[in-house]
Amino acid sequence: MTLIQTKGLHKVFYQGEIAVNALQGIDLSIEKGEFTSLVGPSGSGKTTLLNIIGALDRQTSGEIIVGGQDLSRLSNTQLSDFRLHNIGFVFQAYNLIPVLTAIENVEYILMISGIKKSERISRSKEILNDVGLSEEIDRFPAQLSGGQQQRVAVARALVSDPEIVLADEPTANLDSENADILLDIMKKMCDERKTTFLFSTHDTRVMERARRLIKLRDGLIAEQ
Amino acid sequence: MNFFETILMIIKIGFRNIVRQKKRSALIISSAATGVIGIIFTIALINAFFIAMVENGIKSGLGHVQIRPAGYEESRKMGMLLQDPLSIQINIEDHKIKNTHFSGRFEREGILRIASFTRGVLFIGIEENEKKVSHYSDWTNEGEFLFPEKTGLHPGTVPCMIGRINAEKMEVAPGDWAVLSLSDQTGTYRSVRCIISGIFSSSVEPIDKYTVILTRRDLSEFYSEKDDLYSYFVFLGESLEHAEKIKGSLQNTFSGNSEIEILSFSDLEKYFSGTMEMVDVFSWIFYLILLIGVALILFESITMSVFERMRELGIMHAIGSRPLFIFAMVIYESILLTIIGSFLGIALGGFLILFFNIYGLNLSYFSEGIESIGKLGSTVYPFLTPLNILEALYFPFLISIASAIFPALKAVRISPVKAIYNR
Repeated sequence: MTLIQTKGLHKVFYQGEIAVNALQGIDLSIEKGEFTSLVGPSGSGKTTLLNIIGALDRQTSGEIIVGGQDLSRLSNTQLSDFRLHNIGFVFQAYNLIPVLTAIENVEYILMISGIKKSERISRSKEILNDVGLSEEIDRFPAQLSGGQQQRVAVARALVSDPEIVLADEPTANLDSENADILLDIMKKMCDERKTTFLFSTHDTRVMERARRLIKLRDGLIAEQ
Repeated sequence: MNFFETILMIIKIGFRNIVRQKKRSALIISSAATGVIGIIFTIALINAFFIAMVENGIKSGLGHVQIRPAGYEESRKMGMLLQDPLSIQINIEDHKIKNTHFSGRFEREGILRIASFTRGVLFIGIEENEKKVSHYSDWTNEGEFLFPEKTGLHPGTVPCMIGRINAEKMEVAPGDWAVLSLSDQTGTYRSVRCIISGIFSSSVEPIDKYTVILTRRDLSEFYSEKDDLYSYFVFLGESLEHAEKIKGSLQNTFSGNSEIEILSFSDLEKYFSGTMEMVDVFSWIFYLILLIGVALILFESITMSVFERMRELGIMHAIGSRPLFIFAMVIYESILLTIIGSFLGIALGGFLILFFNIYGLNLSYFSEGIESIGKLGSTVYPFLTPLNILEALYFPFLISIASAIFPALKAVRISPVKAIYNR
């Protein structure tokens, strides 16, 4: 079942008056439950493609359909709701809410989804336990190591059981041990829950685990 | 999204952000506190001015109600005399108003002088009942009040009372004498020697300076060689709230008498409401300047706080937070900081006001200015009512919302991609 479909996807940025063609016609199809890596040099368009698939950014032209929804037809508020209910994000720089504890960061997503408190707590604890942080649930991000923060970010991305998890260089700031732990967790989630994972990465460990590699160069798919 | 839980989350995040940004929060709280101190102190001072002017006006002889010759309210001529004052007096006594005292007075302008000192003054002729309608008896702190009347004075002299300021200028004490001069009924300039019976201190400089008290009979005889002249009768009830009731009762008693008019405190002190309106306008201008200052500090601080948290707000957008949630969060932080500051301001300002309420605020440095706004004493006692405290919270609350609207909209419009990737 095709979950993500793009046709002739273009994205143009303007740096001052200079137009930068970040994506120059991406045709892509990703099935449910795939564990896919976008690879390519810096500036090849990996992050831009992830952002458009994740409804964080809009394409300049072309079509993008995610989970049957044509994202170009959604308003900003609808995009917000779409992200909340369908996408989990893991960013390179963890990006947790600094004033919330680990469990609150995870619970936050469920709270804005309208889940009852008792269920929120049990699901948040369970997922934090799954990522090996059952002892650190009441710590604030500043009290956690980089690896622990990224595991909280993964827990936050997975707790609402989204169809797609988009991870932008999730291991870039982690040591080997933490990177392996994190990738194993995500692989396990993919296998158990049939969650679709799409990474952008330079990390060979991610590439080794991916079932599919998509190489980007100059805003185009160079190899699949 | 559950409304109650969303509010709790907004409160939680807002509170922790305030604790996180200690210096900025301290700046906002202190500026709100300063603004509120300024507002409540101004309100407390206006209250004190108002009460002091009313009380001093009443104590110094205006009373709550007066019976004056017809036409007085319009012309305000002091020379006007009551026609047939004795029948008026009998009528008043026949229709006695419960808990209300009255006394007759005769007033004329003249000169108080000794060899080294001369001052134009108002001679007020009073009767024995005066101590029930004014405070001159209580204010007499050296010598004796005019009543009960002294006997055995040297022929051709009259007893009088002068204010503390004049006594000090003239370097006289009770028992010393001064000369009182006026233009009598026929226009002839006349003088009489007055033995200073007592010296009074009213705390209102113009009263001390420009008032000389005699018995009504002495002043009447001095002016016309007759002892039955009255300028007006003054009435004092339980409180100012009863003034209109007393006026109504007297109007009933004298309903057929077209030669008199009955005036309450507010009729007599028409300038008073004008003065208070002027003070009110100035205080509003002062509030406005103060609140604009607080609003600018709030606006700048909340805007900076939003700019510093761009990435965090971008993440909140990215993971699906509704724009209204982010808007409410920024507004709430502004309200919370301002309310903390306002309560701090009320506590500190309240303490300051309490201090001056107990010990008084001496305004003698501004006494020249005070003279120009009527019967304000040199010492005032600021105070607040619960309604004043609500007023002091109301405006900062509105300002806190207004100042945070732009930063909150900015937070709502943050592009998650730009915020997260610093583009």
